[in-house]
Parts: sequence; structure tokens; C-alpha cells
Amino acid sequence: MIHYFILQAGPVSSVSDTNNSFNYFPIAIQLIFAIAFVAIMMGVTHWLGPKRATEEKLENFESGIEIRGNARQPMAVKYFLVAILFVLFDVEVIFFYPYAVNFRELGWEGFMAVLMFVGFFLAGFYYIFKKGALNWED
Amino acid sequence: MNELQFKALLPYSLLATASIIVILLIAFRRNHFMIQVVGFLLMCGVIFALVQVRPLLPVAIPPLFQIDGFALLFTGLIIGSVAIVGLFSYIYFEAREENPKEYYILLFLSTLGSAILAISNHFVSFFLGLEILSVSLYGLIAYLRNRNHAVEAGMKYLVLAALTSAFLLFGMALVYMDTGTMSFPEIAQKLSAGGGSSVLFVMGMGFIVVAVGFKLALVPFHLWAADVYQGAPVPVTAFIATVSKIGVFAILLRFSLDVNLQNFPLAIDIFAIIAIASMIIGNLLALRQANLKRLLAYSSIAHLGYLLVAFLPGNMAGVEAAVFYLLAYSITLLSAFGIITMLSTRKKDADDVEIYRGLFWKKPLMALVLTIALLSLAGIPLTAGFIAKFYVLGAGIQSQLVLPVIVLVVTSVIGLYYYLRVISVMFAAPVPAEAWEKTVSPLFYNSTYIALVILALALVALGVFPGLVVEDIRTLLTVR
Amino acid sequence: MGITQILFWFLTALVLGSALMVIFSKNPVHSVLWLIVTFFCISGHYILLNAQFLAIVNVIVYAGAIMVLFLFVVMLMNLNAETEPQKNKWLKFAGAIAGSCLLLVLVAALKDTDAMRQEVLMKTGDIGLIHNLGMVLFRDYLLPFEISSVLFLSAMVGTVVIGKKGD
Repeated sequence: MIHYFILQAGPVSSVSDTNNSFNYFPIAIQLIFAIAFVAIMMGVTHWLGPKRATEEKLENFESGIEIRGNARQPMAVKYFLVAILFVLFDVEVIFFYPYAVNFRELGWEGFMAVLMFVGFFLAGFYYIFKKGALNWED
Repeated sequence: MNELQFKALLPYSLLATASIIVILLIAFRRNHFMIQVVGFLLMCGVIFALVQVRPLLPVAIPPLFQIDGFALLFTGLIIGSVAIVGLFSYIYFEAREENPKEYYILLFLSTLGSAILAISNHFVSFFLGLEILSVSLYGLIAYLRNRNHAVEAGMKYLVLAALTSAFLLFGMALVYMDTGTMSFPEIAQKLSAGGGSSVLFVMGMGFIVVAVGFKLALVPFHLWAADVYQGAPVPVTAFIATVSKIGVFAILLRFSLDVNLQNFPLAIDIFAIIAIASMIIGNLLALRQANLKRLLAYSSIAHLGYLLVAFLPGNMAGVEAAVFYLLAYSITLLSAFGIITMLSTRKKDADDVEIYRGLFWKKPLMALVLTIALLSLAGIPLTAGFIAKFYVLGAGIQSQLVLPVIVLVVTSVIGLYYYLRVISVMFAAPVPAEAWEKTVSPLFYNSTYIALVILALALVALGVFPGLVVEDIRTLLTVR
Repeated sequence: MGITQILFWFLTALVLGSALMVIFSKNPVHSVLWLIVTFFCISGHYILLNAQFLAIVNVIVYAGAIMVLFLFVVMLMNLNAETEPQKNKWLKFAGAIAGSCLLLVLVAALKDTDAMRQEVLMKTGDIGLIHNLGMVLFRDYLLPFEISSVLFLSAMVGTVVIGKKGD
């Protein structure tokens, strides 16, 4: 058979390493259960519940206030600035993961490296903070 | 990392520290003047560190960096150009009174990116350097976002640069898939051991060429150049034209030297075609430009084409020619953009050729500097540009690159037309123009003036006595 | 057919289907949601490839953060406009040709990769495991790791410079 899944690791590593993809099997099962649960609940409620569509029921619910205007207003760009900064710090956090796994083995040397990495970020954060990029009100 | 490696990296870590210092200075609300002075001193410190590092070389920092004479040469070029760009920036941004401080952070960061490119011999550091360079450039290009074309230029650059980064990554992945390594020397080993003509490798190289060609604004990846040059603030334009191209060219040169690119006729043919197309199209598009910034953009496309002719042979003569060419080209462009900076007013950049009508009769020294710069760009004898072109031609003829050399000569003659047109405008009878605006800071105005005169003198000096630097370049290049 | 193979085909079908849905949905918000499904499936593939770190990064950064940005961009647009701007016919044609060229390149490049499995697997094929990756990252590639923080710094400053009104 042609190896369509060419890049896939063979079964070699499944025995020797405790950290292989098979260990993710419980997570996969959990994921399947979570999705199935939601899907079943939604399906069952639709199927069991009676449907009597009246005009009031089909109206959009806006906390009891009369509907006015359109929900699809363009949003303020301010959100975007915060979102971009969030992405940057999110990526920073990602780098901690492999460090945390190897925390003991890397010892002080690794700690200094991460400290420097975080130091750069903190300088950036201090700058952002001082510039008031996180202030909502201008 | 041992002590030697740490010392060799000192200029680069100093560069990174410089940006942090500027960030903290801004956070503590220091004024523009102080930031400018500190920045300039830091750049001088980096140059000093480079001089100190010189006897230690070559130092390898496996797997990513190789700090040798070649790297030192290119880093020196980059830092020198940035120091001058920084000098221009003060009067340009001070005149606009528009929050000029962050500019210096981005300037130093992109310089760091460019310098990393000059020392890296690994795809990882290649990509990181290129990204630092271009991410900071997005901010720099759109810096004066209230001006008409700034955001447009920044947007164009961002979209295209992001696209080419994707190409670059994909190309690297394909090369990695073929050779199983990302460091240049190891790729070279794999290639000499056999293979190298596999589809994967060729495709990968093709994608990498797209990304490099974009950064160097080579035809057919040049479409952004004119708009970005026009829309960006003048010092940033000078930065793009010099520093960013020096860095990218450095890594292109290093890669091709490491893997012996001239052993692959296909790759050399592609580069020859790109060079010829850049020379022809760059010069032809510049012919009818009435905007000086756009004109310089097209002229720099053509010049990168000339530079590729020196790159094609892949021998030492070619590398020497290329380095000398880059030196002459950066000095020339910096002095030209310096004049544009000094003539730019609050409201608009001095990019319309008509602004220069009769400049000689109003500001003779400035007109003289710009004239020397344009003559050097055109490659007239007694200027550095001529000698540089001469070396390139020599390197090309030595390796019998008939077609590129012929195109180089013919297009240089075509190019003469538009440079002379600008010069003739400067010497034409002056129009009664409005009074010149008062300058903001006499200190920086005068020091910029002095720097420009020195640059122009350097152009002439290099044109008359090229031996001043050629020997040094040669000895530095042997430190590998 | 082992369990890996079954999983592989299942994920492949899902990822292709959801990727197609990204393109074909009329509502841009639906496109974004389908893109999230696509990312999750690709993460599944990464796990099958023994690249756990990439899988985690893909879920947290791409499906989590980048998609938020996508949603913001969608919401910054005016969704009230009923008619989409009609694309030029030649542009579509050029797009189709460019896309098929890329496909051709990919097929040509990957068609005989079977022989290259060993190269790519890096001997054992477990470099993507978080433990090994961390060791490599913090030992051999420490310098680029630090440099990447500079890259983030430049992105931060650039964002603030362009996004924030001047003071």
C-alpha cells in the first residue's frame, strides 16, 4: 500500500517512550464524549420538546427591551489592539510548556534562559503599560 | 556558550540591549533629543565592539551562527548605515512633532534583524532574522499613519511580506525534507555527497528565491517597491533601500557560497534571468518618473540587478565586487535620501522633482551633494559608483557571463538619462519659490549637513582611490 | 488497518470537509467556526505524527488566539451589505491557475517521499514530543529562543505604535 500517511511515525516508538501519541487516547475519548454529550442533548431536546412557533416566540430576545437597530455594527478597533497583544502573550506562554516539562533537568541554566526571555517580554509589557495601550478610556 | 562566543556576539547583544534601553527611556518619558543622542552613542558602541571583536574572528557558534570577516563586513555596513539613517531621522521627525520616539526602537530592532541575517548560517536564524527585520519594518513604514500613503504602503508591504514569509518557510521545509538538515554547511555536505537535483530541493530553492527576491525588490517581485518607497517616511525609505537589502543580500551570498550554488546551472540561470530582468525593467520604469522617491526605488531595483551580476560567478572576485558595490551603493543612496530629508517640509516630503528646480542657485552645497550621489548612481567616472560597476563588470567578464554583462552596460547607459534629467533640473534657472521653512534644530541640521558632505567626499574619494578600502575588504573576506 | 490508520482517514476526511466548508459558507462567522474545526483536526494529525508540541501550539495559539483575531476582523467589516463585490473573471482564472500550479508542485515534491522517511523522522521520529523538544530548544537552540523574544518585542512596539492614538 502506498504510504499516504508518509510522515507518520511508525510503531517503533510506541513501546519505548512513555510520552507517545497513544497517551493522548484518553483525551481523545474525553473529547468524543464531550462532543457526543452536547450533540445528544441538543438533538434530544429538539426531538422531545413540543414546537409551537408564535410571532412573539420567534422574536429576537434582547433582555426584554424593544429591539432597536441591527446587531451587526462594525466593532471598535480598540478591541483589536488588545487582541493582538493577547496573541503575543499567548505565544509567550506556549514557550513555557516545554520548559515546564523539563524544569528539573534544565536546572539553573534553563531558568536563567527563561528569565531573560521573560525579561524581554516584561520590558515590552512595561512599555505597553506606560503607553496606556491597555487603558480602555482615552 | 563559552566566553569567546559570548564576546563575539557582543555587538549583536549590544544592539538588542539598545532597543531595550530606548524602550525604557520612552517609558520614563525622556525627550526626543536624549533618545537620539543615546541611540547614536549606542550605535557608536556597537561599531566599537565590532572593532574589538575583529581579532577574535572567526568564531563559530554552532549550529546557528558563523561570525567571520564576511559577517563583520556586512554588519559594519549595516550599523554604519543605521547610524546615518538615525541622524537623518531627528530633523525629519522633529519637524513633524509627531511622537517620534518609538521609531528608534523599531529602527534598532530591524537593524538587529538585519545583522542577524549577516551572521547566520542556518535556516532557523535566517527566518528569525528576516522576521525581526520585516515585522519592525511594518511599523516603520506606516509610522506617519496620518499621511496619505503611509498606511497604504505599510499594508502593501505587510501583506506581501507575510506571503513571501510563507513561501520562505515552505521552501525551507522542502529543502529540509530533501537534505534532513537546516544548517548551510550540512546542506552543502549532503549536496556534494549526491543528490541536489531532486525535485524537492529545486522546488525548495525556488520558493526561497521568491522570498529573497521580494526583500531585494528584484523583478518580478518588485511591485511593492515604488509604492512603499513613496509612502514610507524618508529615513525609513533610506533604511529599506540600504540596511534591509544589505542583510538579505548577505545571507543570500553566504548560502550560495556555502552550498556552491554555481555548481547548479539551473539556479545560476534563474538568477541570471532575474538579474537581467531587474536591470532592464528597473531602468525602463525609472525613465518617466517625476517623483524622486519612486525614481530611486526603480533605480535601486536596477542596482540590485547589477549587484546580482557580481553574485553570479560565486568566486572571491565576485564577492569582493559585491561588497564594494554595496558599500558604494549605500553611501550613494544615503546621501541622496539625506538631501531629500533635509528638503522635506512639515507638510510633505521633497519627492517631486520640480522641488529641485534651480536648487543649485539656492543651496549650492546641497545640490552638489545630490549631484555627486546621482552621478555615482549613474556610474560616472571619478565616483564610487563607477569603480563599483567596474569591479562588477570585471567579475562578470572573468567568468564569461556575456549576456548579463552586455545588459549591464546597455542599461547603465539608459539609466544615465533619468539621473541627468534630475541633475539638469537642479541646475536650471530657479523659480521664485516660497521661503524655506525655518529649521527645527540647528545642531542636528548642521550635523546632518556635515555628515552629508562627508558622505559625498567619501564617494569621490572611493572613486579616485578605491585602494583605500579594497585591500581591507579583501583581508577581511579571507577571515573565514 | 490499524487504529492509527483508521484515525488518519477519519481525520483526513474531516479536515478536508471542514476546509471546504470554510470556503463555501456564505456567512463569514461560519467560515471562522469551520476553520476552528479544521485546526482541531490538523492538531489530531500532529499528534498522529508524534508532534505533540505542535498540536498544543496549534490548539492554543491558532484555534484559540488567532481565531479570535479573525473573528474581530470579521466583525470590523460591515456585514450588512448583502451583495459581495463580484470578482473579475480573469482574476478568478489566474487564481485557479496559480492554485493548480501550487498543487502540481506539492504533488511533484511529495510523490516519492517514501524513500525520505528516515531523513524526516530524524532517526527515531520522536523529536516532536514535548520532553525532547524542550531539551533541544533549551540546550541547542537557546540563542534563537532568546532572539524570538526580540521578535515579539518588535511586534508589540509595532502594534502599539500603529494601533494607539498618539499622546
